[in-house]
Amino acid sequence: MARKLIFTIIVLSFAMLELLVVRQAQINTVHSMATLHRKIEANNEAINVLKVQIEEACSPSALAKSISTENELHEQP
Amino acid sequence: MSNLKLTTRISHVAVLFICIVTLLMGSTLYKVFTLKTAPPIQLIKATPPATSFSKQLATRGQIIDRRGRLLAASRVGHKVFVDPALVEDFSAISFELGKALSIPPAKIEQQLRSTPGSRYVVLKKLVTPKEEKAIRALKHRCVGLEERLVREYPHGDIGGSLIGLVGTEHTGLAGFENRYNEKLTGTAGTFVRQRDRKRNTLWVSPSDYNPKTDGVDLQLSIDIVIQDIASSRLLEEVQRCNAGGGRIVVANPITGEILAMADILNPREGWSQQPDDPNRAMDVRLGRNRCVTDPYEPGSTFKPFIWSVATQLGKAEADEVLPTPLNGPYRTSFGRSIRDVHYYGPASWEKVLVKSMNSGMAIVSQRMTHKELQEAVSRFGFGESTHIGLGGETKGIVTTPANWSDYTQTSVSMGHEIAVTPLQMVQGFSAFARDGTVPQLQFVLATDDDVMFVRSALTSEIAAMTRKIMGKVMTEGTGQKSQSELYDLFGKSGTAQLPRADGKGYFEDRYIASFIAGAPINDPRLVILCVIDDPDKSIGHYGGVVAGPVVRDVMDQSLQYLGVPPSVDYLTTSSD
Repeated sequence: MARKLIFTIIVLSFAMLELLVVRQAQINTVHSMATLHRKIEANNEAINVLKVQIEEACSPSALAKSISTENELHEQP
Repeated sequence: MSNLKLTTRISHVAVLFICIVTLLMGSTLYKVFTLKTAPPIQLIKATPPATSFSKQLATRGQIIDRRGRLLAASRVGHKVFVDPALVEDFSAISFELGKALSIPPAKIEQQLRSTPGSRYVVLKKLVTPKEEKAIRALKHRCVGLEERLVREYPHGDIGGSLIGLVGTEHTGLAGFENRYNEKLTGTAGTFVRQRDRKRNTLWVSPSDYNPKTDGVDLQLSIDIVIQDIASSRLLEEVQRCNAGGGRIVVANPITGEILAMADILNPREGWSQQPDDPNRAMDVRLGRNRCVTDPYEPGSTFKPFIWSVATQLGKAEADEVLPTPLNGPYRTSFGRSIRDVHYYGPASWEKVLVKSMNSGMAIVSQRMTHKELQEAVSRFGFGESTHIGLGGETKGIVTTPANWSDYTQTSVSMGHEIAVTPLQMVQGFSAFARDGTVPQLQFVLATDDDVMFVRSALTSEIAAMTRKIMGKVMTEGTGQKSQSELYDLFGKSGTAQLPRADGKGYFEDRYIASFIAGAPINDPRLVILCVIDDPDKSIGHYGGVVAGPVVRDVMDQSLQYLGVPPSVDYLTTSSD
């Protein structure tokens, strides 16, 4: 009887430990997901900023300015 | 016997072990329970909340032009706020914040002290990335960075009045930002996070997570390059003529898409926008878009509409010679005197349009019944909305049948006693560039699945004939100074007197000059209208002289940009 009891306790203890490990793994995964999510958001944000910068650099007025500067440089002896 | 004793002892030890383990587990559970249900005050103070509510900002949809170029986009920026209740040393924090934000520390300190009891004092509504980094480095509990959406317009003022702008709450206030606000606006997301002591995310329950929905992107029919070409050329002409303002519309007559639209006002003494527009004084983008809202008298640019309908109704043949005067004004049957700029004597119905003869238009208009002329006006869409969907659109001014007199009949045939918006004008004129049908104008890019709503105004033969004769306007008539060296244009100039602000008649020597044209004549790709308000008469006031060159230049540059091969052998022309 006592042996069975000890055996049950030991098995239950291991099972609980395993459950704790699974729970911890779950928490770690959620944490990683949250971190990744933030990174994705930050990257998207950086892309948005870049898009605007590219658009500003390629706007008709900016291009006209660049072309006129280039032309002036070529006209110089 | 000894074995029995040993077994008994082991049993006792086991029971003792079980008791100890049970006791330990029980006490642990009890502690957890008490910590959960009634934690000590010191513990509450020492640990941050285990859960936190977070809001995910939904990005507003982008506005892009027909080629996918970004016209308006949102990004996440930050504003800096301080919780004065948590500040221990106002002078020290003000000094540090002043250094990070480049604001005088004394000003910050005054701001923090001037709002006693407040827990939220915004120091700067939008910080630069460098400032944001400096603020984060401070690591003060009393200083916070709050996310906010920032709307960027990469092309600056180009097309600004069309695109509009958003307010502080990121909702559209004017232009397309306002018109499509619902579509562009997203829904913010929310979620509750379980956090550890270091505020790392431990858990997000699926039931506590409502993901954000970003706004839908909007693709316009506008082409930002053509928009730039049109608006900069218009501005140049308005300044050259010292005009009160100018308007230009560029459209694709086949699809009805508006490619560019600009409305410029020149703050010049002696000319003011009627009616007044105080919003425009605050921000041009908040003001009325006069291409949509403000009707003007089209003058002779209206003649092709009446000319084509009269021809279709058999009121005159193109080669029929009319009794137009050789010198002096023509007198109508009811005694009205009609003047021409030049007198040519008896002229063909075709020449009436080419030379823009008021007398010829008056003669043929008198052959039409009032109803026929009223229908001629309405079949091109004048007197009704274009249903383009922009706020404040007006229907123009068309005399009602009840008030329509013989005087109105002759006036309307010359483009007087009628007012149209530039949009209506472009829509109606598109019939000549097509098969006589009037397209539905649109600002949002048309897709192949879209059904094109059109109305029939003329037969295709009459539309083609009118177009051909308007081609002669450019080579032999009032549009000669606006003829392109690259493309065969068909068009018509117009010069109307400027109405007085008080509604009592017209100014004698102030005008509205306009010019409308399409090109290439054999396969029209664009229709352009330019209206110059009140140009300086000493510089020029005729539509063909003031507005025509704008249309020509914009047409040339836009068609070249669109890759349309020149229809005129310009190499031969230039070598001559």
